[in-house]
Amino acid sequence: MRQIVIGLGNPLLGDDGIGPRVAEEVDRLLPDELRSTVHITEAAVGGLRLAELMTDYDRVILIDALLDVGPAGSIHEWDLEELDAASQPQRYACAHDTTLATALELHRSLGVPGPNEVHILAATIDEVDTFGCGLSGPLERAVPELARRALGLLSRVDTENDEVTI
Amino acid sequence: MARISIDPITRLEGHGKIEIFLDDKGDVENAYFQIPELRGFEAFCVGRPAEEMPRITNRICGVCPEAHHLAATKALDELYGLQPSSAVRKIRELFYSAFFVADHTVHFYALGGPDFILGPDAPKAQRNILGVIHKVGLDIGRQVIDCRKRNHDVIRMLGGRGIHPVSGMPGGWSTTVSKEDRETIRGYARQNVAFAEFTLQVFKDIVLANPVYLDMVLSEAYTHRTYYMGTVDPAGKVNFYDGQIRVVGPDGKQLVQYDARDYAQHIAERVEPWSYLKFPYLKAVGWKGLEDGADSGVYCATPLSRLNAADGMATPKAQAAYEEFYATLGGKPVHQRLATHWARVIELLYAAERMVELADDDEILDPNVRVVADKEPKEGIGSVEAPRGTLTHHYRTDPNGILTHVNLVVGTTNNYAPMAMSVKKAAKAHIRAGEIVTDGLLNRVEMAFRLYDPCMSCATHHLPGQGPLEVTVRAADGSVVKRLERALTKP
Repeated sequence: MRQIVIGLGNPLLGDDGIGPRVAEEVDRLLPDELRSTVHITEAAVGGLRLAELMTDYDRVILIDALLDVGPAGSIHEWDLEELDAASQPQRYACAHDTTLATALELHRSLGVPGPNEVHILAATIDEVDTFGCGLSGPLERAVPELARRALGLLSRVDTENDEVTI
Repeated sequence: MARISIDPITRLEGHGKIEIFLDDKGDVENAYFQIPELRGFEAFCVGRPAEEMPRITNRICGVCPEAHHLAATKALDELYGLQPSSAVRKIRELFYSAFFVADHTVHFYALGGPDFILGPDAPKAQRNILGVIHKVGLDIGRQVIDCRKRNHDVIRMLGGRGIHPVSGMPGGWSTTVSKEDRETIRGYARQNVAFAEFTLQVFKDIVLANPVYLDMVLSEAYTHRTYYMGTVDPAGKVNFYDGQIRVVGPDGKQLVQYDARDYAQHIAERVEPWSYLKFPYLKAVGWKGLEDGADSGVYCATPLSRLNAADGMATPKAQAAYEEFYATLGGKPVHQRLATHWARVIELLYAAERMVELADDDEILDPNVRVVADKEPKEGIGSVEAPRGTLTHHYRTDPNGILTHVNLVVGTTNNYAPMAMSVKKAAKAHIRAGEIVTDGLLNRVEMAFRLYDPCMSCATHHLPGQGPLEVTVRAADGSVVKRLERALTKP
């Protein structure tokens, strides 16, 4: 099973960098036996460009920042359908092209290979408008739990192929 | 005073918000747009080594990292007193042309296209690229996806990374072009030309051939007579990567042509009390408010502006399209802002043709693309045409190359004043006393904004929280007549 972890966000915008920071942590903790099938990256994109990052993978784990839902540092986990239900018909993130849901639906309708599973791990942040490096205390404290959950998802059995990864 | 708020404008990067105020009769009294601005960027950069800027600034914007990467790299060329070789310039321009093809394609099919292909009255949920593809056919959808894929492949090959490129360096480029990659790019470039020609035909078939849409394009509601800015090559043709900045007036005559390094002599910024945005204007003309005309220093920097400012296109098919554009619309300059969509497709064709020229040039295989910076840095200004306007980076450093001053005039910033004017004019034309404010009407107001392809709150990237679009219609006494929430609920 090909899997990708995408840390979404801008590491130069303070807590918006939670996604890339967790991706680093997942990379650090990733078991050797998963290295050949797991790709870890970071990006600050959305819509079609984000969907295009996913085309060669069976399972995608997005790690992102979230505004206005609970206190800073609180952790949320959805699959794409749950996010769709919450956010249709609005964008996932980058409005310049389209929503992630729309982009993936476009790919599906055109027969572009895409993931079977999309998991979203998000942490609430207070604001995204001020430049600066590093995370605030509540977000830094959320990193280990987000990384633990991401590693848990990566280690899940792929039931379709009946393959035990760990 | 009644108030209508569109927050945020859909399908734009960032968090735009339009506020429309009605008078006692229900007519539009005023219209404003508000854009949150990222804070602290200059302070963040000062104290850092200047050579980091191509990698820092390409994080400002999730939409046009390639434009920031190149503007920063060109500023470093000047900062370190290095003249890039011809091969380096060609590789950079090839990289940039691929970006333009991908970016303009997205705007046409995903952002601007839905307004015309599906129509301004189509349900909001359908006015997206999926709706477009369902209308024009799956095959076109595949072509759009393939176009993006191959051009992002070029960006990855030449930029060293698929997203947020890393190859720019003072006076050089850190990635060489292999023979295999060059052959791949040559093939891609030719596919781009065919795709651009096809897209131009789609525009003609769907927009120009439809009298209702053509009337809308030509209507006074979307017309402004301002100054126009664009980069031109030594022959006066449109160029995205390098050249001089030319500004022409509402009459089409040249006001000034200058090197990017002299931008501060020609451009000043104005702060209005209702917005914390700075509105750039032409110093030589002066600020007269958000007004049209030769006496107002408001200028515009868009695909339409670039065509208006230049003498033509440097490639044959784009030049033919350019001539047809002006012949159809009554000569230069064209003031109908919705024609910007057409101008953008002509630029798409130019970028594709330019890719062919550059990919066919053996010079791009030159392995000597890196240089050592050995001069003391002081000040550097770099400029490119971003898809959404002229982009300028300006740095000063201490003798060790540590930044002491950073100023950026981003593409969209140039267009703040004309965007505000366009929103107000469209609102006045479409929202009138006694008329129920519908989705379609509000979309016509948004169209005035969308044609500029603005990219506002660059690079913020987060999940949506509360409802991103709320429209409130209030009577003159402030009571709510109607409230529309096409919005997400809290997860």
